[in-house]
Formats: sequence, structure tokens, C-alpha cells
Amino acid sequence: MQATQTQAFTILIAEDDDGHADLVMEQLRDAGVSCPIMRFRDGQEVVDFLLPDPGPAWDQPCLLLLDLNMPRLDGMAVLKRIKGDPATRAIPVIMLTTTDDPREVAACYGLGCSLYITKPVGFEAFSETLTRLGRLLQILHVVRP
Amino acid sequence: MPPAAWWSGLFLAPLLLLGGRALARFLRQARSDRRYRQAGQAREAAWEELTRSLHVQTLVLANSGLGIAHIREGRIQWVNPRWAEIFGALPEHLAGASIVPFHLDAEACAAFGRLAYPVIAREGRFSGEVRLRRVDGSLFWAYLVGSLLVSGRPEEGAIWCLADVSARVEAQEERDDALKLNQRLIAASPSGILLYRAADGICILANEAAARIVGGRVEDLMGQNFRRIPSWSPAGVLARAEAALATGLEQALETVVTTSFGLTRQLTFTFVPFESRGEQILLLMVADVTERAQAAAALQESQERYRVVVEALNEGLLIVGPSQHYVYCNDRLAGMLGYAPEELLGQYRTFIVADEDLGLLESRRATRPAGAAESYEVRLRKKNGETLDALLSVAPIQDARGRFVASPVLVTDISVRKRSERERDLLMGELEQKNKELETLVYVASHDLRSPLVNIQGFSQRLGRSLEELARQLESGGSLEDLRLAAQPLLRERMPAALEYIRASGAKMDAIINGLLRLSRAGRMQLRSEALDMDRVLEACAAAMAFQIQEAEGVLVQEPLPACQADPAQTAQVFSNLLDNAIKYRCPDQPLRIRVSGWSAGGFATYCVEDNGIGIAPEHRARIFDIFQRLDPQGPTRGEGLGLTLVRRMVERNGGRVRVESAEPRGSRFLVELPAV
Repeated sequence: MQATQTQAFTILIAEDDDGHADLVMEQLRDAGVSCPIMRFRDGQEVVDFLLPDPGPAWDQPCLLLLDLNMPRLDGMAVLKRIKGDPATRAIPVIMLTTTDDPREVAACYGLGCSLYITKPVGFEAFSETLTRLGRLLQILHVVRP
Repeated sequence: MPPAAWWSGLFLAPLLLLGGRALARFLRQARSDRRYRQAGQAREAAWEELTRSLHVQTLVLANSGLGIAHIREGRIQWVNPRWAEIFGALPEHLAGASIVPFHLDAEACAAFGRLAYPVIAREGRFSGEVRLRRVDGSLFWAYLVGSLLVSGRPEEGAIWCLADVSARVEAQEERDDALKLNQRLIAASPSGILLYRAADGICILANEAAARIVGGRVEDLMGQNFRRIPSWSPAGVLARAEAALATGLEQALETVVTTSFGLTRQLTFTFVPFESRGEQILLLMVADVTERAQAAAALQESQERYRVVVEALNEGLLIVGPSQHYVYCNDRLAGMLGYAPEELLGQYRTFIVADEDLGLLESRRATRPAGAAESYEVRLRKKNGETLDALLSVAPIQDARGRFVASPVLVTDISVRKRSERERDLLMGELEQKNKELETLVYVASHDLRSPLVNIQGFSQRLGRSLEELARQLESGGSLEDLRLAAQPLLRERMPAALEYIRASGAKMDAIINGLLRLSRAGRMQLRSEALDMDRVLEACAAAMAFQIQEAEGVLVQEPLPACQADPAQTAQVFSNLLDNAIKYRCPDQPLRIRVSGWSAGGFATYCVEDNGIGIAPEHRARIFDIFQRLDPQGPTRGEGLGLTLVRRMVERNGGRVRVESAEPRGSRFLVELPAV
């Protein structure tokens, strides 16, 4: 357990709303997630980071928290790009969004997201969700080779 | 048959002849008689007398209108000229000929001989009629009178007188035939036939039909006095009968009577007066038309009912005849299409169908089972060229062998229904659009409003935790320096940052709500549609934005624009928004250039607002008109994501459309279509 923790593991957050990004990162830290967190302001930024053109794809272990409704390139398009490219297909993607439209949920799972989490308006519920997510991420962190 | 009186005088001729012959023979013998030779003057006188008599007889023989022949043992001995003439031969050719060829055949000849000679033998004379054959083969009726040449000596043969009575016999036969035919006709006639004597009114003839019609027997009718038939007088039948007799003219009448035998029937009476053997006779022909009258009444009633139904339904009726042409149309149908009925009659069956629906009709017709009734919704062509939506209900009529007889077509004007269907479809489309917009609004409420709410909740909690932290520090009893160190980041950074997020989120929610209200107002606002001089509208928009354009170091090129029909305020808003977008989304590395152009086509004026800005990726083009979609809210431009939504909404409310294309080599080109003037 301790051995694997030394491995570099990065959480990528694609979120256009600064407040949301701030709250999510704080909550993850509070839940004990200690790995590096990178924040992107929209879909285009995160795609440019993972699949730079020109340049090799990002190959470090990572996990992507992806908002759906973003300017320039929205979450769905990002998911499509990442799951459509062999270099990034293995990256676990967790949708984190205010939208709970069942059609969008189904579409995201259809495109290969690992988890779909709705941002609750009640902050206690949100922070609890994020705390659980933090714990989950720790487990993922542990089992990842 | 008794011989007619007119030629009875001619019988004298053969008698004279017979007498003369006997006398001549007697005289020939007497001349040789010596006793007479000595008789002197008396003898001379007798001779003279005899010579005169012979002369008369010779003249009679030669000139008689009767054929005269001496026939012995089946052969003609001699004939007079008339006999030969009757048979169409010369006398010298007949002498010595057999009589057989002049009969129908040998059997008829023998039969005649068997009949005639015993009578001659018994009574000295035979007379009768027989069919004989002329030399040319034709047959004729002959009246023959035969007597033995020498009484008691049949071997001497007989003298036969002959007259051609064909004309009389044939006339008689015709009369007999006619009488028989009459009798049969009268008996078999479905009409009742009765004959009354005018003088005493007594019925002298009645047939079975007459008896059947009145419900009695023939013998009941015979002897009945027509003047005493109870029902005739009140029904006016008697008056007609007397009128016929008085005027000598035929009289007819149809009426309902109760007969002497208790039947109530509708009858036709036809009285024909005529004279027979000096007596005035009244012929009555009577026919029972009760059923026909009932059927006719029923038919008329049914036709009337049908007519009333068809007219009440206000339907057009058309009948296609066996030759596939119109054989009937009612006034309603003609009126529906603006024709006079006679203009449609005789036209081919698809004459009234609009060209664009001909194929449809013919293919439907080809696939339907023969004789099956079917309905078609097709457009018809009116005389003035307009089309009329109609429902054709076709019910072909076939005869027992499946051949097409006629096709009545009921034509219903469904243009009102079609128009309301089209209006309904339009409304449905609009409703769907509204519904979609409403869904978008709900989506916005759930996402765009929730997003700032998450921040308000989250940062409020953070504020709360900071306050708790401050309170804990205050209550911990630590030094003021410790307290300041602990409170400083909270009071100067963390708490103001949280408050700023809360304030910004509040402002964002306010902007969203204001946007929703503006959108709602744009949809609800009363429109004032008028002809717009778009050159001036655009000039005004450009003037209002002159400062921003100048600030962006941009150039606006405005080409001549066509006029359109729209609300002036909304139209100005549309183009202001488009110009505003062009300025907002300009390329930072090159001077802004905006070009506005326009053209007219197909009842629309199209305006093109083209820029050389950052452009819109193809995958975003579908979404840019949706509410609260911003391409880059964190970028240098501000906006609430409502401009294009408002543009679309306003353009559509004015009956137009808007779309976006890529401009070359970069930038966007917005195309706005509005109804032309």
C-alpha cells in the first residue's frame, strides 16, 4: 500500500466554474486525497493537455473529473475524444455535473465514463459526495500499479 | 264452301254445252236416218235451228270465262282456251296430257278422283275446291264442277268446268287466321278485354284477364250491363264510356275502383267504340296498374328521399358511365368547381382531378380490387385553375358478369377541414417549438441556476467554518498575536473570497433570471409588422455601435439592402445583436471587418452579416442559438449567452429564419431571412 503511493498519480479537473473547482479541490483535500490536482477551465484545455497536437499523449497515471456543460469543448465531446484515442482510452473518467438528465447520463455511460456524479445543490450532500469520491480515489490510487 | 252467287250464271254454260253435245250427236244420227231425210221443210227448219245452237255453243266454249275440259280415264281429251290459260299453257299442248301433274301430287290426284267420281256417279254432278298446279309449278285454288259426258257411262269421261278462286280462298284463309289470332290474343292478353253492346249495355265478350283483374269469373262478366256497374259511376268510368260512344273517339282513364267482386285496384280503362254489322259496340281494355302505381310511388318517394339526402349533405355527385366519361353531375358539384353542369358532362373521368394528384389517384385505382368501393383525398382543379381539397367516395357498379356499369362518385369539399388541418399542423409545430423552448428553460433552471446555487451553498458553508474557526480562536484564550495570525488569512483572504463567490453567484442568477424575462418578453411582445427600409435600419444600428467598432479599430461595410416586412424594434435588435457578436468575437490579431449585404428571392429578403472574427466550429453551430450557450465566458468578452437566442426568437416571430455559415477564409456569416415586402 505504501509502496504504490509513491507513484505519481494526478487528478485532472475540467471545470469552467471557478467556485466549483475551488470547492471540489478543497473537499478532496479534506477527504485526505494528497495527490496532485490539476484544474482546466474548459474541455479544450484538458484535451490540449492530454492529446497535445503536435506532441505525444500524456502518459502519466491520472483520473479525470469532467464537467459536462463547458464552453468551447463540452464534457461529452471531451469524453468522446479521450475514449476514442488509444493513448488515453484507459484513463478513468468521472462525470461531475449539475445535469441529471437521464439521456445525458446514459449517453456518458455509453461513451465509456466510469462514474456519473450529480452535483447536489445542498452543500452537505455535495461535500459528502466529494468525500466518498475522495475515498474512492484513494482506493483507486492504491490498486493502481 | 258454297259458290258465290255472282258466277252462278255460268253454270248454264256447261249445261248448254252438255245439252248441245247430246243434241248434236242425236242430230248426226238423225241426218243419216232416212225417215228424217224425207221430212222436208220441217227437217230444214230443225237443221237451221240446230246449226244456230251449235254456233252459240262453240262461241261459249271459245269465249267462256270458265275453263272447260273433257277428261277421260285420267287424260285430257280437249280443253277450251280459258282452261289452258288458267294453267298457263296452250290448248294444243294439253290435249292428251295426264291430269296427275296438275294436282299437288299423285296421291292428291287419286284422292280427288276417289272423292269426286262416286258423287258424280250418284248425283250426276260434283263440285268442290281443290289445289291445282299450273305449268310453271305455282299452285292455285280451283273451283271444279264435273259431270259425266254420257249419263251412266263413266268410261266416256266427264266434262269439268274450272274457275281460279285463289284470291277468294286466300282472303278467306287470311280472315280465318286473323280471327283465330284475335281469339288467341284476346284470350292470352294480360289486359282485360270486354265488348259491350252500346244499345243495351250488355257484355258480349270477356277474357280471362278481365275476370282476373276484377276478381270474378268470365261467366259473371258476360251479360253484365256496363251502365249498371256500381263503381263505374262515382269513379267517372261510366262518363268516359258514354263519351266514347257519343264521340266515336277513344277514351282513357286511370283510377282506383272497387270492383263488383270487392277488389280495390288501380285500373286503366281504355274505351274504343266501333261498329260491327250495324251495331255500335264498345270495346273496353282494362289493365291493373296497382303494383306499378305502388312501385312508381315508392320509387318516386325513394328518389325524393335520396335527392333530399344528397342536397342536405351538400355533397357533389358525379356519375362516371361505362365509357369512363361523366354521364351525370349535380348542380352542387358543378358549383363547387365553378363549371356549368353541361361543361362537365362527357368529360373523361379524371377531368376534374388536379394534375399533381393524377398519379396518386391512378395508382390507388390500379391497386384496388375491381368493383371495390374506396375513398380518396385528392385535390381537384376548379375551372379558374385553383385547387380544391376533396374527398372522393367511389362505389363502382358492376353487372352480374363483373363488367363495369357505372361509378357514382360522391365529392365532399374538405378544403375547410384541410385548411384547419394545415393550421393545426402549423400550430402543432409552433407548440412543439414552444415546448422545446420550455424544456430548454427547465434545463437551464436545473443546470445554469443550480451551478451558482452550488457555489452559494458551498461558500456559505466555508464562511460558516471560517466563522467557527474565528470564534474558536477568540475563545481559546491565546495571545492577541496568535489570534491575529490565525484570523488574518481568514478575514483577509478566505472569507472575502467566499463572499465574492457568493456575490458573483447571486449576480449570475440575477442575470439568468433577467435573461429569461427578456426572452419571455421578446416572445410575448405585440408585433408591429411594417415595410422596413433596411438601409436605414442598419445605418441606425451601426451608428449606435460606432464607438465599439471604432474602439475595435473595425470597419463596417454596408451594401444596398432590400426592404422587408417585419417589426421595426425587433429587427433593429436582431441586427444590433449580430453586430455586437461580430465585435465581441473578433480576432485579436487582425483588424475587424464587418460586411452587411442582402438580396431578395422567393418571397424573402435575405441579409448577410459577415465578419472576419474567430468563427464558430461546425460542431458548435447547432448549439449557438440555444439559450445560455457561450463559447468562451471566461474570455475577454462578456455576455449572458442570450444574444443569438433572442435573434432566433425574434426572427422566427417575424416569419423568418436565421442560420450561420463559415466565412472565408475565417469568421462567421449569419444569414437572416425575413418576409419580403
